[in-house]
Amino acid sequence: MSDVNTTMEHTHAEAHDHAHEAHHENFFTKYLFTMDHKMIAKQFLITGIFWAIIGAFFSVVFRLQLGFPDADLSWLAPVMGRWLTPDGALDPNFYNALITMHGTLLVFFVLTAGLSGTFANFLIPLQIGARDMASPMMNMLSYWFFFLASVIMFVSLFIPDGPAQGGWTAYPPLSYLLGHGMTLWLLSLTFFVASTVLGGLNYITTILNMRTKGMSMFKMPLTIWALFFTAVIGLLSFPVLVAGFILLIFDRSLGTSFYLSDLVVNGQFLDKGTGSPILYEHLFWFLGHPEVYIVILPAMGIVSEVLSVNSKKPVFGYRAMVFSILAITILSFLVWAHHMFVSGMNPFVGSIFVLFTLLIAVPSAIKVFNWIATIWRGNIRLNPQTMYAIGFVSMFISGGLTGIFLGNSTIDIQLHDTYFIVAHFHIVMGVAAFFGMFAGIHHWFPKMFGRYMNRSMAYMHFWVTLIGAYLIFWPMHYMGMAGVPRRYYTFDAFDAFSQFAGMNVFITVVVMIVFAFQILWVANFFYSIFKGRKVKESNPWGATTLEWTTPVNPGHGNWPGEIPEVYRWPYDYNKNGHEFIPQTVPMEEGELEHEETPAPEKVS
Amino acid sequence: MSELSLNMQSHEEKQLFARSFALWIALGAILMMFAGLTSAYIVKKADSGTWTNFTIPGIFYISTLVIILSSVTMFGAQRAFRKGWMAGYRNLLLATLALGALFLALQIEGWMQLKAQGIDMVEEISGAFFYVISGAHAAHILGGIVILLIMILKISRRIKKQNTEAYLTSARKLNVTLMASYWHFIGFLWVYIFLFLLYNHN
Ligand code: HEM
Ligand SMILES: [Cu+2]
Repeated sequence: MSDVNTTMEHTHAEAHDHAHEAHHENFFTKYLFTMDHKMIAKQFLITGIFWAIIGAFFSVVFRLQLGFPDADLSWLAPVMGRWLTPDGALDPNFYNALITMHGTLLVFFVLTAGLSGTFANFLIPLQIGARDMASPMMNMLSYWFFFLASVIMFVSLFIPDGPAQGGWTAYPPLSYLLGHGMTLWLLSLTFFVASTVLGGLNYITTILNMRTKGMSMFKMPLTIWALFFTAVIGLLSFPVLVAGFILLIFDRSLGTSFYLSDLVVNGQFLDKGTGSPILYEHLFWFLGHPEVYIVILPAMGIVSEVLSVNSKKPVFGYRAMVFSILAITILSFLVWAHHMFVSGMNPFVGSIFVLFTLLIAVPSAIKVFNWIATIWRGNIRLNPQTMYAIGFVSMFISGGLTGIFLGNSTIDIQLHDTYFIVAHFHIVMGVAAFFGMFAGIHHWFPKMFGRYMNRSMAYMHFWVTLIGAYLIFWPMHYMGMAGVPRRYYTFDAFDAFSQFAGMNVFITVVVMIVFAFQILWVANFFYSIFKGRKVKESNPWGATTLEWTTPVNPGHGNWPGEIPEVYRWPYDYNKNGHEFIPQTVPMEEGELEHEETPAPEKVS
Repeated sequence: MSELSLNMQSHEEKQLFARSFALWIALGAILMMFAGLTSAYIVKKADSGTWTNFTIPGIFYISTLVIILSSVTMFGAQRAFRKGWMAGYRNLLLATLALGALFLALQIEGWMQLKAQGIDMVEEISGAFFYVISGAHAAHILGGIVILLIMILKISRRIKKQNTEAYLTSARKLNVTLMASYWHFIGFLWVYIFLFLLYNHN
């Protein structure tokens, strides 16, 4: 609010900028404090990749601990330093720090900011036909809040008592007892929420107000629909997380006890009164569950788009897709307590949450059916982005099925906090969302950087990741069913779990291989930015959407001339003898819209 | 004007309209945060045996009146601005600012009285909720006061230059509307919070 006037002056200055392309731009205004949505998208992407490497590296380290608890890790001392005990074992507290950082970084920094931040920024103006976001200034701030959150989280890795160790969910009372790492974690995530809210405000406003002529809501690509509802979910749920954090910060720093009741810690009695940790669980999961859809919806949108373009068939059931996303959005706010079946809630309340949880399977299944129907008998081009998109569908089905097990409270009480949960959410959310992200990056890389990524490396990466992910997570279902709890530093002390020692070794070995191939992908990404094959045509995939009507390297303002007008929906593939008909091509005389059925022929 | 800049013009008009839209969504987000806090309050209160009753100091009734009054002066400021009466606009903004500051002072006084009753944040969870919710609201008033200050400075500089006609661009009109919407919103937010606390504190 306070800077509304200055923003206005800025947009005037910018309008000028569009006209005479990239005039007074220097390094700082072009790459750092840029307001061009395309550059901001790249900033989100590259920051996301940075965190993905760190988060994945952490997982390799804690998998080493699980697979080889007796191994001497002192060779890691140069990077891990204090986190190792003198005899080269991983310090148990730092094991907790590693899983906490792994979860936080991947869920929030990579699959929320890195995924939504990248594709919402890049695609919204380009696909709806706008020169930029509604507020480029707010957009820039959104990135810089994310950057600030990143810096704080990064610093927390190096402080003496280590980063946060309370799990990505930061449940009290544990999170109350932790040191400065936890304080920085809360601070960082507060800035992160500020970034998400600013971004989300902008995405929604832009989609509703900045569309080009002819772009009615039901002519928007599914990517835009998905990003739209993602932003809606974020705006409704992240502020509630902030409410939860405020109370936690008060408990930690100002002596209140919203979440704390009388505690005995290390034999010491802490007189804490009458708070309730369950309160935090409610506030956290009111965000936490919608958050998993914030992660997956953008990937779903990308997959719909990629599958349709590359099988040269219209998306099957476009409106059903839109209404499924809407249904998921609504239901995602009504299921949070399925993470709390063992918190002692009233079984009747629990059964209501079971009902809503199982209902989510309906729109999810509709979407899966529609993806398969989209590629069914299509003229499929198995380029990397299509492979990744198919990988997404495979993962989503596998993980969605285990979700239905967990949604039944009677089964969940057995499986809660075991490796079954780890398997469920890594397959359905972690790996699936990554596949969506890979698909999106390969598909829009030519538009982002004017070059192609290397295909052979991509195929290798795809197959190793797909097979590797199943090898890593599939066995975890069995471990979970046998009762192996998650978040344990070691299982040495439990005879019941010794049968899985070999399995743990196997998983760890696969993790290392898969990690190596992720590095290969990152290498491919950066190599291709500078050295990839150059893009010559403006529409290399034969797609219908507006971003492919811009020049190969669109400048600030996206279209050199006027913004094109839109006449048709985005999925006119294989119609009237054309492989594809761009949205900018007017309807022919007598041509039917995709939803109209031809008038019945007159029978004489 | 070339084709190109004509096109840009409409892009800016869209951006202008979008701005008020964005404010409403932002207010929705703020509302969600308070919904989170008040739901936590209700859930915790239902937990029997842990809630200490207290009386809400009378001063909060006065502060509620003050913040409602500040909305009235803000309406006046909007009207004056629309009519082009810039001095009136500025004076009414100043009045709003004064009432906003008074509101904050009364809130602080109210918290002290509550504390004097023996309801403090550390000992009593009922009190802790009261302080946190009304405190979070006060932070939003503080933000509103900063915005008011900026707008007052802007208009004061302009009044000296004496060309109000040219000053009344649609962007500036919009800014005044946005400022006012925010101010009314946080005023009514307090009324909601106050009624909520009034009906739920015992
Ligand atoms: C058919 C739909 C789904 C159902 C019925 C379902 C059900 C559940 C249930 C009941 C739990 C709690 C298990 C426990 O902790 O005891 C759970 C955990 C989880 N689910 Fe799902 N799920 C579904 C789909 C998804 C999707 C699509 C995502 C993400 C994109 C997802 C992400 C997660 C995550 C991250 C957790 C674990 C959080 C944690 O404890 O750290 N689920 N799921
Ligand atoms: Cu959930």
